[in-house]
Amino acid sequence: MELLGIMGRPEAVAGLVNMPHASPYVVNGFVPTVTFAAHDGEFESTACVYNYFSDLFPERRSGATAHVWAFDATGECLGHVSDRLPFQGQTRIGCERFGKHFFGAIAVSLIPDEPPEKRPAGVGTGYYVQYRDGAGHIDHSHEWDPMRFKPMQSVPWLCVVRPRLASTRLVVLNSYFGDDPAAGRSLFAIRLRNHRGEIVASHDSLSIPIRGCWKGDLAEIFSELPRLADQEPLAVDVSGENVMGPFTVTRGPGGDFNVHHFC
Amino acid sequence: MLPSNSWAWYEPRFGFPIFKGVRTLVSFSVRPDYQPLQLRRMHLGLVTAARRGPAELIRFGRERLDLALFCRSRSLRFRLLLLTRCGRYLATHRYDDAVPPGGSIDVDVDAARKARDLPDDDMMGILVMTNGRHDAFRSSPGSYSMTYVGDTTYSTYRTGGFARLLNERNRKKHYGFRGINPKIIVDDIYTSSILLINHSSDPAYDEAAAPQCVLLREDGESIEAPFGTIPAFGGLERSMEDLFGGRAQELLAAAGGRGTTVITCPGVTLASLHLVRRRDGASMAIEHSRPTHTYLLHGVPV
Repeated sequence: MELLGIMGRPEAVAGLVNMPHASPYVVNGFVPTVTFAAHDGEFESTACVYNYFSDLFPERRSGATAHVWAFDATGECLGHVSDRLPFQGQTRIGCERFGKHFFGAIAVSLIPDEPPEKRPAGVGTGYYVQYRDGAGHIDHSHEWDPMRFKPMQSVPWLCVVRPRLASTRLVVLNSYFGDDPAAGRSLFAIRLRNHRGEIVASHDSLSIPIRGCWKGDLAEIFSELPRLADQEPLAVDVSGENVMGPFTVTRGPGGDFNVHHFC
Repeated sequence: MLPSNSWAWYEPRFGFPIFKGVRTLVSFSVRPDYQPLQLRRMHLGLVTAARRGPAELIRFGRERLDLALFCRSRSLRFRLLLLTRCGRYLATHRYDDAVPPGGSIDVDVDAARKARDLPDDDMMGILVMTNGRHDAFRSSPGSYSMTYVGDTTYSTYRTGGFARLLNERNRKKHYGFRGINPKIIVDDIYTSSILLINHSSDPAYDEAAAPQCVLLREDGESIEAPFGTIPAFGGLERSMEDLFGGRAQELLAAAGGRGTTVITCPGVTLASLHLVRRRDGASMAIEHSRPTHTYLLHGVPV
């Protein structure tokens, strides 16, 4: 109802169109949103989806279908699964449903039975992913970036790490989900900055396949990390071509873990 | 209500919970490409202000003067406000270092609390920075990380700092808050809770919020309860058991312990955090929620 109220304003609906798209992942302008996921023996990932169109357009009492794709680190699409959600319906789609171990990404699109006539050319999907490890530690994160079909230069993503407190792995996803290998090339650099912003270590020319992901342990990427840790706070800076906001996978001193994207 | 000088309107800030017995570390990294003020974009918003009338036009002029006078430095300074969970102001802790673009600040909230002789307790913190991005709606020149470290637990969430109008009735009308959490687990191993923060961009804000919570099972069965009253600038965490007693686990048992909450509160906007904890204390997960309707309003690139 709130949405209808806002969309009723001419300035809010200006420019809304239905735009066809050639990608097999995009249906009626609904662009899947992507985030890190794994089903690899260490982590089990589950997409948690609620039919929020029920709350946005309650008078329609519309159902929706949740579509999920999984991609491994090489960018191979491992398949597509879908669940039908009734009005106010919900589902959890575990990555074991793709039938293979993988470390990479999932993309989710929630498409209502009756898409609103006035909507932006591209509509993403809000959802969460729950991660569990073999010891029963648990974490969760909201969805991250929509699939991109044009090349883009990333903003410089930056976040603090604390190597003396916790071990940190970086996961970087290629944001490009189109078919042009040249457009989807992803080269990126990882830099460590001290609290004054000075670069104290860097690795350049790292690459990610289209739709794929790159992962690395910070302590292995930067052998000088123990020495640099004395200069804490240290921040990791990731930037390059077709780089989605990176993720940290951090294991705390008590064994619990956290997965989160840079912001 | 907070001291009137808690922040200036142009200073982005972020409120977060502090948990008793859990070490709280808050960091902020300033993006290397941060530009404090783009003079050529100072006119943005002029047409909207003019359309709203003379008072808003005068306010627009004053705000642009503030930006020109106070928002020129590329380096940011930070201060931490400590409050009770009920939103009562306790203390301000200032950090001397100026953080340039590409730099970071790492705040040990426990150290600040001890420096102010405050007891280890459930509290609220607000980290304020001296400047932001005034050319962008988000106003955030970088990102916050909130990290919670217990003896056995470790959890982080990240978001930006904002200087948007929030819960200022005389300047912005909110339709209301709707928070959806489809990752509720209530079983013998895990339990879930929701923490709502009644924030505002106005330090003089003093209105309480009283949300309502519905817990939904996948077949449509549901139970409903008042969430409780959240004072201005307060934060209230309620587990499913707090809200529904044993009925929560009973309801969700037929769905493997899984469910969704929908929380509503007309007329105000709230910040919401979703938590899952192992009942044996071995794990804690925390994450902020995201409003889903924005995808239909603002769209994504295609």
